[in-house]
Amino acid sequence: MLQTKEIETLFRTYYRPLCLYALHYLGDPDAVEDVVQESFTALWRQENPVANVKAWLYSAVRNRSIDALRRTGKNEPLPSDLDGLISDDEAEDRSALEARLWTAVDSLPEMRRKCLLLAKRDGLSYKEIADELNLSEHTVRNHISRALETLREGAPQMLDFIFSFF
Amino acid sequence: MNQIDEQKLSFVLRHYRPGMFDTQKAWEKVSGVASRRQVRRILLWAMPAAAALILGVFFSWRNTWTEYNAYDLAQAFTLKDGTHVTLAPGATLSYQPHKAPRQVEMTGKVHYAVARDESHPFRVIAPAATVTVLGTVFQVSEDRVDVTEGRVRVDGPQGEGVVLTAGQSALLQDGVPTLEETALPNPSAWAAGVFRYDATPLDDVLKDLSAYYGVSLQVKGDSTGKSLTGEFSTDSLDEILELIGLALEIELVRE
Repeated sequence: MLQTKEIETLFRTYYRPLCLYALHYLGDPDAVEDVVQESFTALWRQENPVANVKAWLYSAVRNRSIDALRRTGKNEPLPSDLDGLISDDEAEDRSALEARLWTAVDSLPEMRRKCLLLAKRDGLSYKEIADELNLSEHTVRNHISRALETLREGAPQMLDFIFSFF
Repeated sequence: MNQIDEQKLSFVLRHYRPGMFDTQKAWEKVSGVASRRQVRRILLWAMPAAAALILGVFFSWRNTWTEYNAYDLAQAFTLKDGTHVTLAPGATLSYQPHKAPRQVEMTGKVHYAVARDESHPFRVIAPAATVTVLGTVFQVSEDRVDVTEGRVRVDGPQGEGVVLTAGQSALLQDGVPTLEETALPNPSAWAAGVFRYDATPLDDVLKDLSAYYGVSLQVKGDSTGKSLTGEFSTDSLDEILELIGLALEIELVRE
């Protein structure tokens, strides 16, 4: 059986990527966390050694996601927005990158994040966002382009960090 | 960013909600479930012994000791008076909740957020010192005391004492507590899960992270003169390492 410390390291490494992976199947963030947490609990209970823990986790999350979909009566146990089929490796890499983007969005200054989500998620125009948030259109445009710039620079830099050299 | 990545970004943004997929919170939930399961297993075979103890416990109820242990993970508990304690791995804490609810004995490293009660000082008896407080946030380990909020008094076994206020630390050596000039950057990060640095030398940062994650971190290359300013919460160690590495143009490896 795996030690608590080993499980914790795995959890901190793969929790968010697995959530994003399951999100492709389930499409509902609330359902996702239960599925991923159950998979880790199952890993914890494994009496026999697991050869490839990462692959084990991904397939556990996939199976549980498909089960959950069947339970809700949806007969579409395939990732909803894939362009055709992609390999397991590609799906794992994609989830890792999406997890970083998620972290990056988490770390954006609040106003920038609000503007970005209203524009890209809710499809509001700059004018509508400006009215909603009591800002000028110019400021809204600025917030969004700064936010996208940060996200495009690559996920790790996105945490709000200031470094200094002496 | 190419087209595929735009797809990923729009997928993330479409589903994004603040506070979702919080690794730290989820871990607390999952590890909590697991430790409860272990406790149940232990109780099952400890049942006959417990039954035999009931009579004895009945008579010595007032003198009962409650003991807390943290094995390989930090564990948080709330004492009878509302004080929150977080035990670092390997730490123990015991007290008599009915007889002396505001006096605890401990070993290892423990973080305290003491419930305020002006008329009853809270006392921590550690191997190297006794710490007395009214209501404050601080932590005690085998060789030091760090204060985050309020004010505490630290007395050595021979009676010499110092008073610490927020942000100060005392070293406990040879039975005499002494004020420490350069405090560790984040004495309580392991309990709170947030690291703050202000022009902190890289070596101290690595010491801090090594202690929190229980791994040994090394710099490949020259680390002299590099320092770090900023704040981050502990989500993924790999992300933190990559981030520091990119910014300072060094490579960090764990062993």
